[in-house]
Amino acid sequence: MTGGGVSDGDMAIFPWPARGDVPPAGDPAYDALLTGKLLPEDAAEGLRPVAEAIAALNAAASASELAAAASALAEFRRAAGLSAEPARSPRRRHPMLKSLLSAKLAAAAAAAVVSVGGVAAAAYAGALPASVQKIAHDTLGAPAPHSSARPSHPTTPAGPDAAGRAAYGLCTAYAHLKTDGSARQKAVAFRNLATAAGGAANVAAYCAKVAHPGPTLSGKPSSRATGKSTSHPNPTTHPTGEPARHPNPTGRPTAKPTGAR
Amino acid sequence: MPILACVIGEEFAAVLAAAQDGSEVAFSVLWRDANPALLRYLRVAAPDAGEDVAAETWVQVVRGLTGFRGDERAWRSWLFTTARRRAMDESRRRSRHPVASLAELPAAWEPRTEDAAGLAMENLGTAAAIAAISALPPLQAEVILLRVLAGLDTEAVARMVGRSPGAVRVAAHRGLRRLAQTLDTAGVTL
Repeated sequence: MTGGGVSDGDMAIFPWPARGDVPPAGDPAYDALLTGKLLPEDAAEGLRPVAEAIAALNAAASASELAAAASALAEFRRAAGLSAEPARSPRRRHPMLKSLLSAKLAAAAAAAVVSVGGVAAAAYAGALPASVQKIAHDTLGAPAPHSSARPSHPTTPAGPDAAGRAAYGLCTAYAHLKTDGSARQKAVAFRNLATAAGGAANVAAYCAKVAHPGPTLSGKPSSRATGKSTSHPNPTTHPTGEPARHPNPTGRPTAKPTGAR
Repeated sequence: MPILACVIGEEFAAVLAAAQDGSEVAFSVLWRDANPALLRYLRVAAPDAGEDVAAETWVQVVRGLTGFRGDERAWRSWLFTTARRRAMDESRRRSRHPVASLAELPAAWEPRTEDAAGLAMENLGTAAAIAAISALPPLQAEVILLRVLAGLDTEAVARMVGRSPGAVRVAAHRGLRRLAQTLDTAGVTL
């Protein structure tokens, strides 16, 4: 690496020498670091610790950083429901806090519904635009969107296992919320359920045949089963299997800190 | 290729449109993509109030969501600009009412400590990197965080912090150089 010297006088107070040269300001290596293009293994020795710090800064999200998902979603629903209302002044503190606290309460009451029964189940049921379904597949672990190019299963909206699992989530969520949920939560859960059932009139019949899908999805013989399934280490995250398009289940729902990159 | 920044990519327009149309899944995708980066930025920009400021940021963003027009770069710029303003509001509010705000809000404060502890336990490398960057002069720290976490270029960061692009570039390079020296001499392993 060019740049020669660490000229700062304070370096001398340390008993050991610098491990490598640190380039002067203006070196293109810094721009590469800032845009994430300079990986620690490619960095000059003097910049490797910084490259590692940048990589750590960009490390996969931890669970605590996603813990407020339910509160954020509650706020999203509230904003959608109240969009006709005049906006609150940003200077007022207490309405803000109340909404945060009520969001936390709502989260406690409906955490399972929001994170599994509501959004994810809607995604599992395939009731979303294809591009959004693909993102949901990548980030939430829901099935991939159905490609019109796929030759052999043109009519089934979702695999039987996925439908069963989603139905269980949606029906259970609605059953819980019917007794404990707010009117808005009930409405949302029912709307999701009705979408999955193919109409409000079908909800009762839809939920009547629902059984717990069980811990494994592989017991039920399915025409969709292919040799591809052996490449899925954890088939429960990909109920439909969607052959040939997703050899690596990368979008796991609970992004664990798996290291720098 | 940063893991946190710009992961939505070419699907962004469709996801944004669906979220503006009321899709909760689409909104969740946007939130999950951006919230960790926002929190990491706010640990430096709003110390001790990161979760609150992030929540306030999202409140403002969801209320303005249907009116937003722009690509993913503009979206991230809007998010972080909103967060930055909220962080400045928060710091002003605290300097005006330093004691009352703590005494009034015990319930709202408790979860934050748990979350902070959770971050430290779950991701020591990230916490250490944030700590090392927060020891830099404020402009250097902020510029580095915005470029790395928000995935914004020099020009966008310059608009956000109200400096010239040249000043932002110099601040980023000086900050990284200083960080290199600090980490090297400290023998820090992340």
